[in-house]
Amino acid sequence: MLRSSFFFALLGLPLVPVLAQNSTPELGQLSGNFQLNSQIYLRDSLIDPLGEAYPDERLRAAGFLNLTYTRGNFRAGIRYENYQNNIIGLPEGFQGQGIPYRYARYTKDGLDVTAGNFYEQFGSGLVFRAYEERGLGLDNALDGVRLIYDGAPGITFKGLIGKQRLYFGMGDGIVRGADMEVNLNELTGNYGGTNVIIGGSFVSRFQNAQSPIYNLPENVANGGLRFNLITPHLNWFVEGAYKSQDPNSSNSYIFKPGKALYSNLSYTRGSLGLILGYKYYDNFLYRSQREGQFTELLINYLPPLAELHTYTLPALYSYNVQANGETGFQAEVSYRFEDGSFLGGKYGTLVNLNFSHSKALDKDFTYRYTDSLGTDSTISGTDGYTTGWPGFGDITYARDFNVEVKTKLSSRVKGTFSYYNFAYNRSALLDGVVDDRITPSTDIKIVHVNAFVADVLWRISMQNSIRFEGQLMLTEQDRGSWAMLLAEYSMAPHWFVALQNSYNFGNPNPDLRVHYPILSLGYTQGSTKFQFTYGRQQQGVFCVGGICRVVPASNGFSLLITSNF
Amino acid sequence: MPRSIFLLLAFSLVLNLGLAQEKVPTVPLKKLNGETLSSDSIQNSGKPIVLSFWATWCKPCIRELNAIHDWYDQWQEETGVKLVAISIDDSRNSSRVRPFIASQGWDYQVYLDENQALKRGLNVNNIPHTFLLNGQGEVVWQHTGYMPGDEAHLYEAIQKVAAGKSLD
Repeated sequence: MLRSSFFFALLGLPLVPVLAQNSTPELGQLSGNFQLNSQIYLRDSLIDPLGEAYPDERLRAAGFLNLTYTRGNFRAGIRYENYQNNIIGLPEGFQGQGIPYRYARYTKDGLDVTAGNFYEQFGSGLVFRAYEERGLGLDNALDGVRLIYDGAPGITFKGLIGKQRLYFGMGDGIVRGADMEVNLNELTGNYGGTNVIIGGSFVSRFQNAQSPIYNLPENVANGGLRFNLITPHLNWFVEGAYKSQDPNSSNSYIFKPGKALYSNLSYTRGSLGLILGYKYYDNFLYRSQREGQFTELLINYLPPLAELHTYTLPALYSYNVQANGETGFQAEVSYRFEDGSFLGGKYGTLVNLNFSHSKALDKDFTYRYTDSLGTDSTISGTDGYTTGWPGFGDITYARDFNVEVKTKLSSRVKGTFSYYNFAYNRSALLDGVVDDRITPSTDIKIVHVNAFVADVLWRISMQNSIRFEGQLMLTEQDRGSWAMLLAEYSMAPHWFVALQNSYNFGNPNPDLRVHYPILSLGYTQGSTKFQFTYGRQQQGVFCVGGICRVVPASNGFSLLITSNF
Repeated sequence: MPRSIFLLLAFSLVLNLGLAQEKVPTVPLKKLNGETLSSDSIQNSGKPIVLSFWATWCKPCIRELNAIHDWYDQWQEETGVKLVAISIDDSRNSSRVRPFIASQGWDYQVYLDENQALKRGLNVNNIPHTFLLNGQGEVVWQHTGYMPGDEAHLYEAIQKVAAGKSLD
């Protein structure tokens, strides 16, 4: 109640003088959006023998409403959220209802002040990124105060303090941060097509420590420097960061400081694009509370530098950043063969090649014996391990090669054809086995995959079209091979209907060689969309931005409504 | 708590009667050359603007921008419309945006909204999401999702707005 009255006070504030003067041509604007996702679950003992995806409630629904008020330089907003209870596969911590997000903000003379909840990012996010990914149930908004000043040309300063959201509450830690970015060309007024941007950020989190075992640091600092050179053809970005001792439950309470280096170089000329990326993350998970799990209370973001698989079957194996230690690189080439050329055909052809490799760091672990016999050991309480640079370890987390060819087959038919060849470390990326346990073990499950995807769009008329997807994913490991077919018919601007079926024909267990059919029906009216789905959803990993969650297999009806006003 | 929500909704409905058309909120965006610009500097000297939210990983977004690309020269000639494509790619993919556009051959103005401040400011739920702004920068039409053929409806709206007609 306290929170909502706080908001009323904020909302009412700018209106008071206007209403009092009783001359109000401009009352400001009100806008917002709404989403509701509800599911009715059906018991399916074949794909879900333990009933994990069959909740007692039978029906669950989750949704939110955002309301934003703007008047001139002033802006205020709230978000009401409701989870009765949360949809299966999303974090169970979101339960009940409330207004976990409300803010007021104004900008004047280059100063931008926010009080309440806000999202923010410094550089590439290595040091600080507060953001939301609703699809993952990730929301680490800060509740506090933020100042941004960009009144002087070429300089942007940001400062913030607050606590992070944890479901309908707050994490224990206090987060303080500052960032400065300088665009040298804007600063000196020297524009010549080349831009040099430098930046630095510093964040510190404070959390009380009362451990009887360890002398835990209460303040943990994380600082980074970045450099970006941009010419008409080239873009080189590099950011390095260092984190002080941060023993926490995710790194097994080791006292080693963290290091991170991330760099990206891209070159563009005509239709040719080249990208090279490099990452080195050593013990770089950073939360505002030592005991946080999963996607809770993350302060920073580590770019995964691996291709995001978007087609259903390859997306069953998506890359998940290993913040405790990984290094790797990515290379990508894209080129468009022009219309009428030998390789371009009549309408032109676009080719994209991508290769990435992520490995564990080469770690030499430091153990401490916890019993007098010297048999039970742990890395907790020590520096954990030693490693060097470049530090490529023996264990591969993921190696991925893929090719995509996009072309027009006729004036009405377009096709995208992809081939994937990848190796995926199931133990680390799906089962969550941490590397101090993988290294001594010989039992690492690597899944080797070859996959093909054809995606063809046929425009029957201006308003009517059919899209087909055929996918084949071959592997001897894990759940074996899969095939998938999809047909989607759409009638712009309102209707679409789609039918898809995935078939796990290669499952080593013959009883699990089952079909997963899904029927979807959608209706769009302007910015409002209704989508109805019925079918069997396979167990999988759903990832956004290199952060993933495991979604159990389920069966049932769902209705999704989104709208915007 | 639920009571306060109803109060708030009722309050907002009352307010709505006297409210102005939605405008694009002022948030910082990034140009592809690294310079920052404020979203309120997106202008087209009194002509309509299409604001299209997309990302390099969003297939329907790319389909939509490609479909519009086939007609873009003609649209510009007939109505003076300008399309501004707002990429919500985060630091994972933002370095891919420039090479991606080059390979697609798009000649749109493209800005980066790396931490989704503009997306949030315009209450976008999912992408693709397309807004049409009139000459005064007010949101007069919007559409979520993309189905082949939607671009024809967008263009009908653009033509009306360019001619100063109401969309109702």
